[in-house]
Amino acid sequence: MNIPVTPRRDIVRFEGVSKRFGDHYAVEQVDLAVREGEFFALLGPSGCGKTTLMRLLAGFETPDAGRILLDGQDIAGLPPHRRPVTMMFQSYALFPHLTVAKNIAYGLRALPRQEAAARVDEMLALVKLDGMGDRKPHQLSGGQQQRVALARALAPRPRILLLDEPLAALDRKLREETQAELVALQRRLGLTFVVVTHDQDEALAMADRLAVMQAGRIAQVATPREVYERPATRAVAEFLGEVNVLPDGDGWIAVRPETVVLGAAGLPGRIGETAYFGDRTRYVVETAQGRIRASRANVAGETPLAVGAEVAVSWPPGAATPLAE
Amino acid sequence: MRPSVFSLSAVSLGLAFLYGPIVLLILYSFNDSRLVTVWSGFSLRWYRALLQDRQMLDAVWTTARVGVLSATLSTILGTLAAVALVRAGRFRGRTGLAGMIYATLVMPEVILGLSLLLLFVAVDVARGFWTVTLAHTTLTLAYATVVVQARLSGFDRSLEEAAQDLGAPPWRAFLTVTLPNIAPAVAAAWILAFTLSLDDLVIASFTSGPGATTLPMRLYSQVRLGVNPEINAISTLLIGLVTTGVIAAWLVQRRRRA
Repeated sequence: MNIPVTPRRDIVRFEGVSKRFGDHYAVEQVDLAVREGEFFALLGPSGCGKTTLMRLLAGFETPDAGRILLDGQDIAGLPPHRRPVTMMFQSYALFPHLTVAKNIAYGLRALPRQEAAARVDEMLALVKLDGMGDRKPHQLSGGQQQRVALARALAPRPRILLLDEPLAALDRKLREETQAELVALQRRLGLTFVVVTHDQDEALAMADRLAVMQAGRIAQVATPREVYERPATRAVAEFLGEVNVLPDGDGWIAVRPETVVLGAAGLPGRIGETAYFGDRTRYVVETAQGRIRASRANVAGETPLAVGAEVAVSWPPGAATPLAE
Repeated sequence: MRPSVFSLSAVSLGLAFLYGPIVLLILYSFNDSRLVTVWSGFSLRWYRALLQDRQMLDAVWTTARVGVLSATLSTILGTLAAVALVRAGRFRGRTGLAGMIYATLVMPEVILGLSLLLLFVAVDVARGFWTVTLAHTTLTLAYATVVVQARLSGFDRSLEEAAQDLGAPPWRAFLTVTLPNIAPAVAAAWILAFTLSLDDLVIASFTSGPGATTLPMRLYSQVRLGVNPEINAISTLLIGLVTTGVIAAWLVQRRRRA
C-alpha cells in the first residue's frame, strides 16, 4: 500500500471561487486546497454552501468567479463527464433499471469487456457484495445500496472521490460501522476523499483535515483537533460541540465544557442545572460572568454535585481560546 | 368489508352508462339482419362484407398510417418538449412555451382544424396524407407532452447527474438512464396520441384531401347515408384494437416495475 508522505502536494485548489444563485451567494470568495491522498471534510450547517462547493468540483455547477485547479489544470470548462472525479450521491442515485453489476460497470465503457467485468468483480469484493451482481437495487438493503453506490463511484478509478452526506440515510449503528469502513478503505486505496457533511461527529472522526463553512465562506481549515480545540471564530466554536463563549477584555474566549474544572478555587458559582448522560454529567453553573457549562466524566464512587451546591469554576491556562469575532 | 347496495348499484349504473352503447354495438355487429335494430341470429356476414369493401379497407390503412406516423412524431417532439420544460430550469420564455404547448388542449378542434387548413392553403400544399399527419401531430403533441412531463418531474434528477459523473455525455445519460426509466410514460403517450389520431374526425375533415380519407371520415359519410351493420363490424374491430393496445401498454408498465 502506498501511504503518501507528508508534505503532500495539493490535488485541488479553489482560487477566489464564487457562485451565485439569483442574488444569493451560495459560495463566496473561497480559497481552499485539498491535498493528495487525504480524507477531507466540508462541514457546515445546511445552506452553508458545502454542497455547492462539491458540485462545483464535480462540474454540475460552473463558478461565476475564480478558478478551480485539478492537478494544476483549470477545469472550469470541463463538463462533468470529462472530469476524473466521481461522486457518491446522498440518495445513492442507483440506476433502478440496471443490475448491481451493470450499475458498477456504467462508468467503465472505455474498458474492454473482459477488463470491465474483472473490475466489477473486484469492486463487488471490495465492498463485500460478492455474488450480488445480478440483483436489482430495490432488492438490496439501505446499507447494501450505499456500498453499491460506493463501488460504482470507485470503479472508474477517479482522482478524487466526492461523498455527499454518505452516511445520512443509514441508521445509527450502521453509520458508525460504515464510518470506520470508509476510513479504512480510503487509507487502503490512498485515494483523495472529499466528504460533505453537516454532522460534526462524522467529520471529526473521519477527516484528516476539514473545512468549516459558514454562509458561503470558509471559516477555518485545520485538523479536527485544531478546529475543535482552537476554533478560529465564535461561529466555528459554537457549531462544533458545546462551548462557553466568555468575555475576556475587549474580545471573547471559548472554553469547552469538558475542560472546565469544578473545584475549590476560581470563579465562585452555584450549580443551576444538572443532566446525567451515563458516562458524564453536565452542569450549568451560575456565576457572576453568566452561565458556564461544565461536563464531568462520571467516576465510580464519586457523588455528582447537586443543584444549589456552591462551587468554584476554573480552567487550565491552555483551555481558553481567543476568538476572532 | 361488504360493499353496500348503494355503492354496488352506483358502480353498475356507471359502468352501464359508459359501456352499454358499446356492448350493444358489438352485439349488433354479429347480427344476421340488415336492419340495425332487429336481431335475427348470429352471423359473421358483416365482417366478410367488410373484407370486400375496398374503400373501407383503404380508409383503415390510411388511418393506421396517419396514426402511427403522427403518434411517433408527437411522442418524440412531446418528450423533447417535456425535457425542456422539466429540466431546463427557469429559462426565459418557459412559461410562454408551456402555455403555448398546452393551449391546444383547450383549443376547440374546429378552430385548430380551420387554422391548419388556412395555413396549408396559404403555403399552397396539396392536402392529403401528409397534411393530416402533420395536423394530427399538432393535435396530439400537447397530450404527449403532458403525459411525459408528469413522469419526468417525478424522476430523480440525480440519476442523470450520476450518469454524467460516470463519463456519459448528456445525450447518452438521457438515452441510457432517463429514457429507460420514463419508457412507460413514453409508451403511454404514444398510445394516447395514436388513439386520438384514430378517432379524430374534425381536424381530418379540414386537412385531408382526395385519396387520404381516414376511417372516421368514411364512417361519418356512410352513416349519413344510413347505418349499415358493416359499420358496427368495423367499429367492433376498432374497439378490439384499442383495448388490446391499452392492455398491452399496461402489461409493459407492470413488467417494468417487477
